Amino acid sequence: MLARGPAHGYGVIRWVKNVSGGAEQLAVGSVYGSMDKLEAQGHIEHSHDEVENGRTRRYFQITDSGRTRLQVEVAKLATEVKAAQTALSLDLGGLSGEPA
Amino acid sequence: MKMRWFHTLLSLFPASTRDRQPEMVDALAESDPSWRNVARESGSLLWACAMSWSRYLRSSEGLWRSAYVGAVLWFGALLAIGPLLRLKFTLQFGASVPGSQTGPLPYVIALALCIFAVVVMSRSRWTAAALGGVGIYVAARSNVIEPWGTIDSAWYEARWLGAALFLVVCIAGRATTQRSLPLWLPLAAVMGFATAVLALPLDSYASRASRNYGIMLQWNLWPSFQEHFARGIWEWVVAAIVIAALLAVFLHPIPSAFAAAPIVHLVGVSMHLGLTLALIAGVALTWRPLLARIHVQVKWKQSSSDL
Repeated sequence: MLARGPAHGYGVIRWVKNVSGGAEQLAVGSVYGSMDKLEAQGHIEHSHDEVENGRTRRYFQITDSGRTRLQVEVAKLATEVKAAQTALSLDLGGLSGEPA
Repeated sequence: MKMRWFHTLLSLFPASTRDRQPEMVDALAESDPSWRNVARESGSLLWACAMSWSRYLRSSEGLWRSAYVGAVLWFGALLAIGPLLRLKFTLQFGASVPGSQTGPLPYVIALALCIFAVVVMSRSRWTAAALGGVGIYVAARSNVIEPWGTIDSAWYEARWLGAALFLVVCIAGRATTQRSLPLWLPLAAVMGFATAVLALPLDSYASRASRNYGIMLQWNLWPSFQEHFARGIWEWVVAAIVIAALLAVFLHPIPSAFAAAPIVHLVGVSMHLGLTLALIAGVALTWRPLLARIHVQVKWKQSSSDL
């Protein structure tokens, strides 16, 4: 989500909940713990603070190293998905009795 | 009830992370109120809290603060143990304490000096160090050792390490950086052991007992090899622990600086308790570096039959 623009931890939790139609709810500690870790690794950085309804929101943005890391992870996931799809199509071919 | 519990957990986080707590509170307020989810959120908060403390203690500010608080705690223990023991013995035996070489006045003076040293610590490090040093010396000279138990003796021995740590941190002061502090603290620990050895005449005079890691060093490290070979396995274990504790302060300065002296001491006083503590400390200090060095590699060997 941070690749689309600066966001705060609470915003990330709400976004995931909305996108999944309420099926996925991230644990608050996991999100903030992970953001801490990413910040320490230099993949995200503090952008600015905003006050919404009298409550401070701490915004983070992705860094260049974070973007590079994200691209690597996305490419890795895409490769795994492709491998899974290939494996499934082979299995399905075997089940249908057609020559492989 | 749920939010009160979450507020309690959030209060455990280090102060440096408090600025994002309002949004964490909002997120927690919107979370599922079921007990299962409360347990899940609690676990994740405790994990995040532990990670935050771990990161904070490795930061420059965290290192400095832990060293400062550690020094004050050690010094607080020194402040408390002497006068409290003296009070206990006075209540037990009356004004004239058997075995005591002095009256209660030196403790009063030592207490006043130590309190004053803590008060001026943040203003003048050298004045604090001088006052603390004199205070510790006065208190040490007027100690009664004979009726002490294990814990009392541990504190007594720890004073030398605490004194050294206190003095070094005072001298190093706020100019201490993340890079230089791991050099200062081992120095403090080594100074602690050195002062314990130097205190041998005082200890043997005061206690006529061997409850001193300085004496243990003398027994376990200094005698001839022939004497060493004549000893049992436990003597060797004790000697190994003493050496390991001395080496550990260079690898893990902060925990070792605080833990090494009491543990080494307890090994001498109560073998099983000391060794158990040494084992716990050893595992706590080494599990991370050990895990970092263990690489488990699983290779998938693709054969022609898999294709």
